[in-house]
Amino acid sequence: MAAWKLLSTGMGFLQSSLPFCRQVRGYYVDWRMVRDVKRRQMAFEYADTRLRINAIRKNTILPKELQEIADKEIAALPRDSCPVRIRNRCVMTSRPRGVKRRWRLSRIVFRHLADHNQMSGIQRSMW
Amino acid sequence: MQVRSGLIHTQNARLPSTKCKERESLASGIWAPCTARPLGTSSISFSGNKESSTSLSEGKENEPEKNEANAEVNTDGQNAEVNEVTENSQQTLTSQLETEPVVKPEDSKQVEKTKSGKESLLELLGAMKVEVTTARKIRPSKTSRMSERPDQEPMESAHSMFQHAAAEGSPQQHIIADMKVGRRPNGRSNARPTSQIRFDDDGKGYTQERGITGELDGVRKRKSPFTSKRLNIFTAGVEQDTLSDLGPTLWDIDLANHIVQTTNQMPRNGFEEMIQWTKEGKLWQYPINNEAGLEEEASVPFHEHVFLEKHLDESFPRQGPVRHFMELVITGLAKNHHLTVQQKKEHIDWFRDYFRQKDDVLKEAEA
Repeated sequence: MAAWKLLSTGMGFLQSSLPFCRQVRGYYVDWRMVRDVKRRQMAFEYADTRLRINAIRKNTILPKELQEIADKEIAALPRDSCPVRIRNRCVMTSRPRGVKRRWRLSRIVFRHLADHNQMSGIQRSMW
Repeated sequence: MQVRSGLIHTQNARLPSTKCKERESLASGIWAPCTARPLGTSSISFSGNKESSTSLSEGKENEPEKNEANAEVNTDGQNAEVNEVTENSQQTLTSQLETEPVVKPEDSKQVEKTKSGKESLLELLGAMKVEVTTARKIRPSKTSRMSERPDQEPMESAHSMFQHAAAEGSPQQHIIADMKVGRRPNGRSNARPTSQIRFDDDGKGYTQERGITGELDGVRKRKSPFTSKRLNIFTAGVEQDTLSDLGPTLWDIDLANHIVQTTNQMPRNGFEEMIQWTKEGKLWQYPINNEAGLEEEASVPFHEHVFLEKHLDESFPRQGPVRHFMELVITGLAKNHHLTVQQKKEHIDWFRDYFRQKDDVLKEAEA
């Protein structure tokens, strides 16, 4: 489901299944951004399961056999479902580094927009 | 038709609107009687019978109104165009007047004859390039005449009806009598061709110039249909429950879907785009509500959130590490104010399933 959604919104993918529909097109900046989106969606799907299995694992009450089994189970989940693999990329340029979390923008884009007065409440600082 | 060529050169492509107030210096004044009559009682043909038709229209408007001066200007203007004698127009007028049922032709005829000389002189002096304002003269008098005619006709045709109604004891017996013929302000009745010489009757040496402001004021002051007295002719229809169904049928839904898919409903500007996003849920609703998606949760009592042991009682062992673990889980869920009660129940159910699957492992571990 998520993969299908991705394909429909992927870079330049045409979808003209119905005659009177417009082509569904969405543009992510590059494929790394597409993969990051995929990982986020999968992480959302498996979030509850991972939380519960981890609650069994990180435990001193339950028997260790159970915890070992829980370890194996969580390792068997798809690799993209873990939230650790998500990278906060810049929304505009997909830059992996130098991204301010509040605006989800890389430093270069942030500076560009702020200089052109597009960022509300942002002002050049001097003191 | 050569005589008319002098006028045709002033014709423009645009036709006057029915509510045109501005001065139009067009020979489209000839067109005006054909276009500016919403309730045309006589069909006026363009091509052939322009003169007779306009004289017919003028003949009609002559009866109730006393705008003979204007009518004379019209008729004599037409005569001057076609280089016919005024008697011709008067003959046509009289012939038309005879056909009218409710008419006082004698007065208008006499007034025509007395004023014809002066007005014909004016027209001849004005020459061919006459800014014929027949539009203005015909229309206000026509519309005011229209207000009177429907009063008279229903009098004749529906009078019997109202007699019956009166016999039956209808509440409003004097509807027609109550219809007051208001004098519409003929705002542009004094509009003359600018080249025309105006006579001041009292020898002042000047005439009073009135602009269009008075007419524009009159437009606003006129009573709207909602301010005047109710006539109570029609009874208010009883509200019918035409669609007392269970709601939109499947066909309606299908039609709506089809319409949505075929029409192009792209947002035209940023505001519409933001509206679309808000409907989809991508954009928050302003002013910001911290409990935006949780309206139902507000009605859930707190004890359902906090006291969750009742879910623990089935199929969980009463003692042992599993029970200990689950009590910890429940304590944690009770303190969590971000989850709904349904989500907490699902949590506990998942653990129940999981421990059921691992029953043998647990027994091995204990043993």
